[in-house]
Amino acid sequence: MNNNPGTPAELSVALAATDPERRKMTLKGLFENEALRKRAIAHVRSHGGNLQDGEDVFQEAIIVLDRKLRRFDFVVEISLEAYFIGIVRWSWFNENQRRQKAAVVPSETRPELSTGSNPEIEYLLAERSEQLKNLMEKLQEKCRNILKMYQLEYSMDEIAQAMGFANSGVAKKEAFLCRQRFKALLNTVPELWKDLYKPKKP
Amino acid sequence: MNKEPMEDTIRAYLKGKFSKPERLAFEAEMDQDASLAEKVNLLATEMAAAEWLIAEENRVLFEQWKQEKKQNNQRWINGKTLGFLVFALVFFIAVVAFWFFQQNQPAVPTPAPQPVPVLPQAKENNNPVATEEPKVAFPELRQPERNYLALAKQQYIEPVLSTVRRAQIDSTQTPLILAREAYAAGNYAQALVLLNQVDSTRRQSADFLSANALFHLGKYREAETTFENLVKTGSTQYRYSSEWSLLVCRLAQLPARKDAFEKQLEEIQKRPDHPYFQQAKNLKKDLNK
Repeated sequence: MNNNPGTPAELSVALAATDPERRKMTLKGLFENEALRKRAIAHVRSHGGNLQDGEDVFQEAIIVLDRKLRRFDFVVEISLEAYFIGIVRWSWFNENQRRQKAAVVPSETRPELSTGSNPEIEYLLAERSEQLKNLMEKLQEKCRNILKMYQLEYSMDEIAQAMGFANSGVAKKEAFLCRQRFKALLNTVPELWKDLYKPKKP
Repeated sequence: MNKEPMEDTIRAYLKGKFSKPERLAFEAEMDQDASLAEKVNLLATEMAAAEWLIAEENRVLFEQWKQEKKQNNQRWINGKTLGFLVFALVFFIAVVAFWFFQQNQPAVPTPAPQPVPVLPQAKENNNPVATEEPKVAFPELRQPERNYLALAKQQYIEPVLSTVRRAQIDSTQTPLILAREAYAAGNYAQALVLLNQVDSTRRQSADFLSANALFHLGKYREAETTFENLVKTGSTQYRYSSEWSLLVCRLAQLPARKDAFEKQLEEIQKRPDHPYFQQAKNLKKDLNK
């Protein structure tokens, strides 16, 4: 296992790459990093969790790390490990709260995820994951893939190539239709998204 | 993707790409504009949904890698087990082959029983007994490391000093008496000096005591000669005891005096009337043990 996967900046470039193989290998390197895994498990076990909790939190922390590195959402000076442990602390805190909302250690305050993170998206993923899942299950596989690639900042040419469309124009049209379908679905569940940001002045 | 005019700005905000003043300004604008806030919420949900899909894809990959790891571990364990079985099999074959080899080795020939040697002295003397095939083999000196000296000391018979003829004149002054006293006190060297002063009329008594003193002093060869002379002179008083002591002296010098010892032992055993016949038989038994 490679225990020195690179700096956050290097990983950001690799994870944000539109080359799926490069992204996959970088992700695998992080997932098989034993130093990160042990640190995550150690943190969870020292905060009331067991080994399985530690494994689960490690896995979820890698997903958050991937998301944040893709957005170049990190402080350059901080090491990957320190940055990752910050995510682990945040993930385990959320998980603990979810399990026993009233039983959180009083002295413990919610750890900050990191600077620059988007609170609305993180909130949705952390608190409304089940609703998102239900929503996405109603969407076609093709649309799900297009939304995913769009989020990963694939160009229309790359989406066309990956999806087997004739050209980028077709990809653009398909993407537009998918987003329209998604919006239509969202309108069926306004409680999922309408209250995310409430204007102070109506 | 047919973006709406504000979409790039909203996306940049949601991706955290704004500076702090830009972010505050944008949020102030959202506070004033409900439709902008709704667009932000809509796009945030779309992005969250896409991230949820990416996360799901990642989870599938994690599961796949975990399975691969488990299979690799299993393969490694299986490989290790197979390796152990192969090793065990090779070891078993080696053991069986070794056993088989051992079983098929030609038996080591045992040395043929040696014919009982005819004593050269006996041949020279044309002794009819010696030329016959002896019925009883001489005790083989199978243990060269055997302590013959200890055995000799065990077989040695101390002379009875009262049998040493007393001087008829002044018994307290004669060298023989003084030698006997010295001998009795364990002063064998002094006894020898005194015995040398004994006159010829008491020579046999003196020689007999001298031979015993020499034995005590570890001078077995000299003791042997002295006892042998007493036997040859045909001393009636010391003959048999000298014969036995002679044998014991030869025993003490084994294996150097092997031939002479065996011959003498055999001779005594042929004479049941010999006063040391039984002792000779016992000695032979001891040597055969």
